Amino acid sequence: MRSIAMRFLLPFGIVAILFSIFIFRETYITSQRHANDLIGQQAAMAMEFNLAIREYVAETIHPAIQDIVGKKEFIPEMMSPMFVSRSVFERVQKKFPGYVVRFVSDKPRNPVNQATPEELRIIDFFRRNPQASQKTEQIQINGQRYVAQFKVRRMKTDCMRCHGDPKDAPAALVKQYGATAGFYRQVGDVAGLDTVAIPVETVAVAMASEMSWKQMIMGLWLTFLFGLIIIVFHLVVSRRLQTMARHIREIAAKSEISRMTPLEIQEHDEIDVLSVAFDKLFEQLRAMHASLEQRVMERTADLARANEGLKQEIADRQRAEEALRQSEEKFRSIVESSPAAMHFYRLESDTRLVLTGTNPAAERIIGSEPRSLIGKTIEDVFPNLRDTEVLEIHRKVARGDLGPQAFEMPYKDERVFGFYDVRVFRTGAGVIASILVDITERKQAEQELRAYSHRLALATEAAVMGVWEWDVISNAVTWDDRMFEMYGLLMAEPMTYPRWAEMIHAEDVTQVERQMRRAVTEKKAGYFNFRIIRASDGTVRHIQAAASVIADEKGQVTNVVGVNFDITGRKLAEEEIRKLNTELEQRVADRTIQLAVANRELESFAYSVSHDLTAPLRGIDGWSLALLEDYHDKLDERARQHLSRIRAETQRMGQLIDDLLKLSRVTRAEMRPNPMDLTGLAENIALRLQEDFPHRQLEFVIQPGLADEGDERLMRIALTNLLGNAVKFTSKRPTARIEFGMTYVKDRPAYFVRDNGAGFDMAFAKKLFGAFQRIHKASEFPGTGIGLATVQRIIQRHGGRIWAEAQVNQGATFYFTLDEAS
Amino acid sequence: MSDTSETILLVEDNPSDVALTQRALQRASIASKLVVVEDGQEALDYLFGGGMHAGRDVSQLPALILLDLKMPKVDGLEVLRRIRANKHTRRLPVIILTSSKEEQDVAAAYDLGVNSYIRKQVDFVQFDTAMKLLGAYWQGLNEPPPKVRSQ
Repeated sequence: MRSIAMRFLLPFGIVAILFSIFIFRETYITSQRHANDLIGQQAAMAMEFNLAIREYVAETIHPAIQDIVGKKEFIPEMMSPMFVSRSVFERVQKKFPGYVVRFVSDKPRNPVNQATPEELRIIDFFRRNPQASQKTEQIQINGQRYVAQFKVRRMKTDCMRCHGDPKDAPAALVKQYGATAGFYRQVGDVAGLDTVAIPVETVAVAMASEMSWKQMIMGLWLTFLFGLIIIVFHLVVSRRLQTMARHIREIAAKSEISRMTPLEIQEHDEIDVLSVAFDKLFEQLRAMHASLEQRVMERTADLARANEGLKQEIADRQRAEEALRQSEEKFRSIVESSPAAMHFYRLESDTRLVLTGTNPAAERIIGSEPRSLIGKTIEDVFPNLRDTEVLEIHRKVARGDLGPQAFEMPYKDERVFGFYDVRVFRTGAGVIASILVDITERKQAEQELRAYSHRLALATEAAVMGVWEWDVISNAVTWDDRMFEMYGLLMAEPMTYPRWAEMIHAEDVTQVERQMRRAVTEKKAGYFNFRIIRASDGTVRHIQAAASVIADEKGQVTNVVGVNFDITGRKLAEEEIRKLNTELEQRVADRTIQLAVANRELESFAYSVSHDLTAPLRGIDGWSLALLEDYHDKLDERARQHLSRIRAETQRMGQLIDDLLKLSRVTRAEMRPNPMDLTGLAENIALRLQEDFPHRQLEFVIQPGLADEGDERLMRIALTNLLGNAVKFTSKRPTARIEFGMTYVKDRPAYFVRDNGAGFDMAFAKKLFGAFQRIHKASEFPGTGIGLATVQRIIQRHGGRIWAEAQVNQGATFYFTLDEAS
Repeated sequence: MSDTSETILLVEDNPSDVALTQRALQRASIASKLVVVEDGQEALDYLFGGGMHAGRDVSQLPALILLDLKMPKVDGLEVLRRIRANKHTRRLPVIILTSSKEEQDVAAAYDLGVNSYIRKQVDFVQFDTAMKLLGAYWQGLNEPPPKVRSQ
C-alpha cells in the first residue's frame, strides 16, 4: 500500500536531502572562493611586498650604494633587487615554509632564477599578450596545489645598463656573472616573472575538516527532523485517517447501515472536521437508506403482486393448453393403442357409408392396409356383412334413426374368425364411430368355463365332495347342494359361518376355527379333519376339509374356498385296518416266539446230534475194526470186505453229520461284521490247500487289495469251500489254475472264484446250492453235497447273492456279492 | 504215591466208548491204571470222597482226567468247574474227550480252565492215533503239576 506518508514524506525527504546537498555545495563553493580570494590576497600582498622591496632597492638603495662604491662596482647583496628580495623572502619562508616568492626568467643571470616549465608557459603567455601585466592561476608544484600570482617584468630603458651591452654594465657584475647571462635584452621584452605561490592544501584541509563536521551536524539534524516529521505525521494524520478508513470500511462491510456508530472526535483539526462530515454523511445516508428500503419494499411488493397475477394468468393459460394437449394426446393415444378396432364412417348419401379412418387395431380385422380402404363403403370394408342387419344398423345410427348401439356378432372372412363386441355411435352429424372389441377368447373361456363347471359338478357329485365358500368380510357362507346333503340340512336353509360352526363336533370346533383363522392370517391353504353332528339324524360324520384362500390385490384375504369330503366310511375302514394290524402284530409276535422256541429246539437238536449221534457211529467203526484186527484169521476175505464197507459207510455218515452241523451252525451263528482282508484270507486258504495236496500242481491267482465288510469266520468257511471245490474239481487237470478276484457283472461289483476244472452242465445249475445235491458221481469227486449249500447260506447271511457259470470240461466260475443292499 | 500218579480217571457213561478207550490206551502202551466212572456225579464222589467212594483217600489224586461232556446227572463242564473250584484239585490236568466240537462247548471248557480238548473221531484209527499222542504227551513230555499240600 502506498500511504500518504510514503507519498508525501518520501518526496519531502528527497527534496530536503537534495536541498541540503545544494546548500552544502553552495557553501562549499563560496567558502572555496573565499579561501581562494584570501589566498589570492595573500599572494597579491606578498607580491606587493616583493615589488616594493625591489622597487626600494632599485630606486633608493642601488643608487645610494652606487654612489658610494663607484660606477664600476656592483655589490649584489645590496644592489640587486632580486637578491635582496629573495633574501628577504628566504627569511619569511622560515615562518611560512610552503610559501613561494621568487623572480624567474627564461634566461636568468643567476641560475637560481631559472624558470620552471610552468613558469616558462606563463612567460610565453605574457610575450604573446603585451598588454597583460599580471595573472592569477592555480598551479602544481611538486604535486602540491598552489594559488600563484604572476607579475610580468618588462625591460625598461634604465634597465638596459645592466642588461644591454655588457660594456655598459658595471665591471663587477660582469666579473661575477659573466658577459652573457642577463645581457642583450631589448626594451619591452619580458624580462621575467615575479611569482608568488601560496599552497592551497593547508587552507583546504582545514576547511574540509570544518565542512565535514558541519555536514555531520546537519545530517543528524536532518535525520532527527525527518523522524520527528514522520512521527508527528503518523500521530496527527495517518493514524487517525486509518481509524477513519477502518471505520468506513466496517460500515461498508455491514449490511445494515442503521447499525453504524459515529466516529470519535478528539481534537478539532481538519481531520476531525472530515470525521464530523463523514458522520453527518452517514447519518444522512442512513436516513436515505431507510426511506429507500421502504420504497424498494413497497415497489417489490407491488411488483410481486403484479408478477403473481401475471404468473397465474400464464399458468392458467398453460394449464388450459396442456389440458387440451393432454386431452388430445390422451384421446389420440387411446385410439392408437386401443386393442379395440375403431372405424370412423361418414354418411355421404342416404345409403352410402364411407370409411374415413381407422386405428392400428383395426388392421387385424380389415387387413394390413387399412388406408387403402379409406374412401370405400362399409360394404367394401366388410364384404361378408353385405346385406346383413349389422350394416343397416350402422347406417341407421349414422342417419340418426337409432341411438348408440351395442351388440355381439361373430365375424368370419379369409383373414379372421372370431366374436366381436360392436359399439356404434354418432360422433357428429352423419359421422359415426364403430368400435369392435375382439371377445373371441372370452367367448371361448365362457364356453370352457361352462364345460369345466359341468365337469366339476359331475366330479363333485361322483366324489361326494361338497364345495363351500366363505366370504370373510360379510361372513356369508355359500354351499353347494352336496354340502347340504352331507350336513343333513334342507337346501333352502340360509348358511352362515356361525351356523356351520355349531354343527361341528364340540371336541373339534376349536381346532377347526384355529385352522380357518390361520388360513386367513397366513394366507395358506390347509387340510384338516373334523367331525360333525349331522342335523337330520344326529349321527357323527367324519369330514375331511381343504381350504384355499383368495386374496385381493393388497394381499388381504377376502374369501376362503374349499371342499368337504365325508370320510366316515374311510375312517371306519381305517379303524378296521388298525384292528387287523394289531391282530397281525400279535400274530407276528406269537410266531416270533414260536420261531425262537423252534430255533432253541433246533439248537438242542444239533447239540444232541453232535454228541449222541456220532457216539454209536464211532462204536460201529471201532468194533468193526476190532473184529478185523482181533478175528483177522477167522474171517474170510468177503467178511473182511463187508466190515471195511461198514467202516467206510460209518465214516461217511460221520462226515455227513459234521457237514450238516456246520450248515446248521452257519445258519444259527451270530453275525459279527468287521472289515475283512479278502485277499489275505484267500491267500491263507490257498496256502493250506497247497499243504493238503502236496502232489497237486496248483496255480492260485489272487487279486491283491480285496477288502470288504463281513463276518470273517463265516467268510473263511465260504471261501474254503469254494477254493476247496475248485481244487477238487481240477484234480483231473495236470495243472489247476484257480482264480479269486473281483469283477463287474451288470455294473455291479461281484467276487468270483474261477477254475479250469470239470465244470458242469448249466441245466443243473439250479440244483447246485441245495443241501445233499450233487451233480458229480461220488466215485469221481467225493463229497456230501452240503458245501455249496453252506456257502450260499453264508452269502445270504451277508445279504449277498451267489451264482455260477460253467460248461462241461471248461471249468466253472462262482460269482458272489456281499451286501447287495448297499 | 507212584501208584496214584499212574492213575488215569476216565469219566464216560457210554460203555462202548469206555471199552474203545481202554483198547486204544492199551494199544498205545500206556501202562497207567485206568479208573472209570460212569457219570459226573460219580467222578465228583471219586475225587472228593462222596457217595459210593466215601472213605477213599482223597489225597490220592489221578494223574490225568479224561472227561466226557454230555453225561446224565452232572455234565462234564460242571465237573470241570468243581475241580477247578476246589483247592486240592484245581491243578489237576483235565482233558475233555467228547464227540462234539460245538463251539459253545469248546469255549465253555476253555473258559473253565481245561487243559486240552480232544474230539473223539468216528474213524477209530484217528481216535487210536489221538490216544497214542495223548499218552505220549501227558505222560512223557508234560511236567505234572505240583501237588497242593494241605496244612
